[in-house]
Amino acid sequence: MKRVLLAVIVGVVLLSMSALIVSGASIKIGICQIVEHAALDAVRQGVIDSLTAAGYVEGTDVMYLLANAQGDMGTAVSIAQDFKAQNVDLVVAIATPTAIAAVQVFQGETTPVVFAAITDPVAYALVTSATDPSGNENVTGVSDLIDLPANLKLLAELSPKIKRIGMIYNPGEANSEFLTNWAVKEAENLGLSIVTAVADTSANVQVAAQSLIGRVDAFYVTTDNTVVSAIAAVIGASEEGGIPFLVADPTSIGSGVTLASGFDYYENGLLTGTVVQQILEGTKPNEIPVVYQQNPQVVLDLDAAAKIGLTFPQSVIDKASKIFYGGAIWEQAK
Amino acid sequence: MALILIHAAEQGLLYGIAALGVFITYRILNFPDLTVDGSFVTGAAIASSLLVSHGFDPFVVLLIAFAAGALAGVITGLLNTQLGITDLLAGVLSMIMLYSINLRIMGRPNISLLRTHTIIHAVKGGFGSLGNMSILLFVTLVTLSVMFILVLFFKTEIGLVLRATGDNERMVIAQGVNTKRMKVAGLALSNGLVALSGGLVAQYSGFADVGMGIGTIVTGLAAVIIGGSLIRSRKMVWMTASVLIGSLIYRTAVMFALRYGYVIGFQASDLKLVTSLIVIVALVVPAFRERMAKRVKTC
Amino acid sequence: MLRLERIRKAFRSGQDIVVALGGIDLDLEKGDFLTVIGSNGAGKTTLLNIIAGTILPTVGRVMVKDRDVTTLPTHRRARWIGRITQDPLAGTAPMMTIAENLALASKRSHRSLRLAITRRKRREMVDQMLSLGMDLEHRLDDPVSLLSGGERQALTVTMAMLAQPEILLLDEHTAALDPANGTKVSLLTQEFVERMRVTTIMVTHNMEHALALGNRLLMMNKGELVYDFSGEEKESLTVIDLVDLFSNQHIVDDKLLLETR
Repeated sequence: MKRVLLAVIVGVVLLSMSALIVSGASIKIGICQIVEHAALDAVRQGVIDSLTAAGYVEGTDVMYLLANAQGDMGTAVSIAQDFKAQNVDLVVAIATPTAIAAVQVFQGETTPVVFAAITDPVAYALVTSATDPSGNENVTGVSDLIDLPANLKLLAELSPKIKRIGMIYNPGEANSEFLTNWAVKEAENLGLSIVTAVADTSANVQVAAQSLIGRVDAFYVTTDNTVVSAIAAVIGASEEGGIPFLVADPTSIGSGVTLASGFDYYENGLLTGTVVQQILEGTKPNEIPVVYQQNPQVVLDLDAAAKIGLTFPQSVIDKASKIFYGGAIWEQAK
Repeated sequence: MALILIHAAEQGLLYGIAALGVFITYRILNFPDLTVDGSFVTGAAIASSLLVSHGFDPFVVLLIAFAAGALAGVITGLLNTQLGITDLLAGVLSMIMLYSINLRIMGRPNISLLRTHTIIHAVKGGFGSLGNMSILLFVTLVTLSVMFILVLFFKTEIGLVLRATGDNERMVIAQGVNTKRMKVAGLALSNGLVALSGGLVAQYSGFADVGMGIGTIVTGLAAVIIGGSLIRSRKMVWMTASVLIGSLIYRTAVMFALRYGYVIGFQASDLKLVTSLIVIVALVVPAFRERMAKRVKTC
Repeated sequence: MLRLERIRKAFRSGQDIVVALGGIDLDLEKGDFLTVIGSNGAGKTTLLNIIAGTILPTVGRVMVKDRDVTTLPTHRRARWIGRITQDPLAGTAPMMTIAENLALASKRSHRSLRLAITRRKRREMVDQMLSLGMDLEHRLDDPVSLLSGGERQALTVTMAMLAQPEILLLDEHTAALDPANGTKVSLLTQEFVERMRVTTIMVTHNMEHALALGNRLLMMNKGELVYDFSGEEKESLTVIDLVDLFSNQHIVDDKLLLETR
């Protein structure tokens, strides 16, 4: 047993030596994400594309170290430590857990940490202030905070009959907890009420959605990864109960959701890329306030609406940038 | 290259404290205790929430975390000794209960410790001149202290009885010991250590997350088993040291796998599979060896 | 010292009821040394189990020094009652050293966070091992698993003695040992029982031992006490007498005859 272990260790060391990357004068950027997820992958692609378009050619001007924590927070820390050991020039951390790990590991260092797709950077102490960056040391980034009041207003606009809004979410996801609480407060101001249903795994989403049929006038799902990954279950409930369904992920349009309003993650990546560029060109992270994505898109699915007997009011149609109809996406002619 | 080893050492030692906890239940008491997946988070949860919401002293918070973990161990012990629930099931039940309890303690699924005064800040403030080594030195000090306190404890009368309870329970009962109480005490000590580890890891990583304990039993076992296969001595000092060494080796292997594993298509998610395989192999090898030895004898 | 009143034990398995002990009354004074013989299934081990507390009697009382201990759990009775069984491996903790085992045995209650093995204790242990004459005084730090069966049983006896029991139960404790070790252990036990005036009950299959040792002899058959000899009566018994008594009881047991030389 001793010998086997020794052999394994020697093997690993040899392997690692053979895989040593010779670094030249190019800029090393470490990009890490918490899981493999279409949205997070899109952010990553957006960052890379943005930099490539700005003239940073991969391989010659810049080298990307890509890492994926596969959902494990301990791994996220190890990844950040690995970036540090490899002397990266800048870190891009996608999603909250990865960002926290990166900021912790690089605390007190000069290496800039740029986060992406974080809903509430201040709540997680990634930065001390979103508007005044002077105290943020080496951290800045882009937030994907959805315009929740606008979403709720949009739902209310669909029909005067909509008063009770059902929210399905996973309390185990930090952002979801925060957004749901915000929704409850915001709904009061708008004269609406929120009815919640909890799904701690994607397998339980269906039960949660079904439990809301007859108790709510509309479904609202935010950027909750668990629920979004089981969105078909909510669509099923929506069709069964004739309940309009708004999800804060525009890429799900066409799958059966009645309408979607939110930010495009690829754009979030592009924005992050511009922040990275600024830093590479000399601006310090503590001179860049947190960037909030603007201009959420609204997309409507007329086919889905027809299925549940809903007609979109003109005011809502005017807000839409895209419409899904007859199985195809139509852009708003501007 | 040196930095990767420093980080591996830091993690190896911090998680090594949890491995010592697993060692106590698994090796000494012969009680496979799954509570640890929950109590690790309990330590992290209590430490973080007290640090963030009430600004407790980072060291005091660790003591409280230990106490909380010990309480979790007591629950498992009572489920087993008083209600007759088997060891595995008792541990699983506690672990599941702790998931809800931990969420309650934290109030949210994860807590960021980024700009809170944690033990890491205290250390960096006090020993900042040592740079990259300051945390490693601190961690080494803490872990070795825990190890030596443990070794000393097992030399005391109560410590001896605890060891004997796992070694020959009937004998110990005949010596007038309430072994039920001993088991509960052992579980308390073990989970206290695991929670202490959780509290330290949370402050080290900068966050506490309700899922951060998943797999603690397996990584703990991996450390115990790797260490145990390298160091055969039955002396307490060497047995505990072997657990820490096993943890260091495991974490180093993990770091290297993460960094260079992509060459063979290795992904971070494969880690749990590989760890379990290591544990299975290490569990089977001694039994297999015995069988082979017996075969030779009967020739 | 020890009194058993109307002890009955019945085991039930499904519909069947097996009566292991059918009404035993026994009274032992301090210092009595009782040998018990009988064929397998006579109920000897069940009797010891009830005295030790491993099993509860269906009916009856166990009194130690006029105190009713019938329902007292084993670990609480251990204060007065020591027990050595046939399995030489059962009385010691294999992963722990000789010294540690001895340290465990020397404390009967109120264990604290004090160091278990002090320098003085160690010296005492060396003396204790010296008196065994098995060369174990050099091996105090060896794990007990390295010892032979005979050595372990000798250690078990020493440990039992350290606990200073008032009642000692011996359940064929030399039966699994080779003759040389068996004799050693037997002598060791005798010596300590005599020196400390321990009230002893020894179950044995060896009729010579049963006669030679102790001041009282009990013969059991099918859960009953069939013969009870003490004092001069016991002294004048011979092995042949015992064999006759057995056949009177229609007991045919090869083991009994083989055990006796």
